[in-house]
Amino acid sequence: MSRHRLPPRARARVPVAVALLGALGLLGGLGSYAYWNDEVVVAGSTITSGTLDLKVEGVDSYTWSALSTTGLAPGESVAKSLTFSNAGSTPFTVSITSSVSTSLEAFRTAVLATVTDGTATTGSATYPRSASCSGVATYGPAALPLASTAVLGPTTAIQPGESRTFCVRLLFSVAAGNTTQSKTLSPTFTVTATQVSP
Amino acid sequence: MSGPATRRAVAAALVLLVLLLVAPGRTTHATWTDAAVVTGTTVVAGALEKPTLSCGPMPGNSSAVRLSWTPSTSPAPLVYEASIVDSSGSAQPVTSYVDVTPGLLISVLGHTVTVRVTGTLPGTAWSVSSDRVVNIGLLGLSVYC
Repeated sequence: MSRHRLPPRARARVPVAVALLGALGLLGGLGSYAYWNDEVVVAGSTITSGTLDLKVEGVDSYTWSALSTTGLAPGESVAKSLTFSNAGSTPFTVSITSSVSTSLEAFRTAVLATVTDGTATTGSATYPRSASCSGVATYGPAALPLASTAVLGPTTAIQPGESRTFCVRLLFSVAAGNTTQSKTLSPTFTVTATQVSP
Repeated sequence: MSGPATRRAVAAALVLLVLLLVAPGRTTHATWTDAAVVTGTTVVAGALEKPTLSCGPMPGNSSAVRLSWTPSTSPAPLVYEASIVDSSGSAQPVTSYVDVTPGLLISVLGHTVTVRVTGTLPGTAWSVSSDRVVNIGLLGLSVYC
């Protein structure tokens, strides 16, 4: 029996075919390696940020008509107090600035303001009207400035739910000249709460 | 590069790297604020009431006149005085009227004279005044409104 030999080119294809066959065999036998797993969702947690909320007499912007006065004569004084409170959840300190507008500069300088951390007391309701503020003076007696100027604070920390008062007394100098008759003065107070740093 | 220069460059690069890593982790320290504005306060100064002068014959003296007014009591009773404008005479305290007689005007030249009544709020520098012109008769023997 004669022995046939494959031509050289055919012999070169044999290892390739064997390798391909082996690869196919291996792929067929591969395992999936899948594992069981399970998961549980833990819900119901909510993180809510706090609030910083300043109220003056219970509102955000207050019209202080109680301090308004007409017919003020030299030597007379008026005083009123306001309550500011912490309606939020964050402690804060409070600072107060003031500025004033007037129809006559001489009237502005003749009205001497005193700001305290106390409350107002009325001395006399008839001429010469008088009133005073309790507490520690943090400003004055001095004319209220035209430009915004600090008149109180910063206070100590005011905790949520707490409140404080500040009092303003306006004294019309007895030395006021004739030109101050019938003149007007309009003070503005800005109360600013600043969060206490942790 | 030489040895020291290389070391400096490496050190600088390390410092820069550390800064880049640390910077994003800094705390900002921002704080909350809230402000409330208090407005609506108006303080109005008072004013003294000017005396309204009425001129009439002086009771019992037809050659003289009486200037009268209603004294003001706001905010408190005013203190009044009368004077002759452009006269060297001093002001005289009065209450609710002043009599102008020829004798008072003996030093005044001219045909008229101005009488000024000034009210002052006691204890203060506030005052208010009114003027009234009266006429001087022939030869200065009488005064009339």
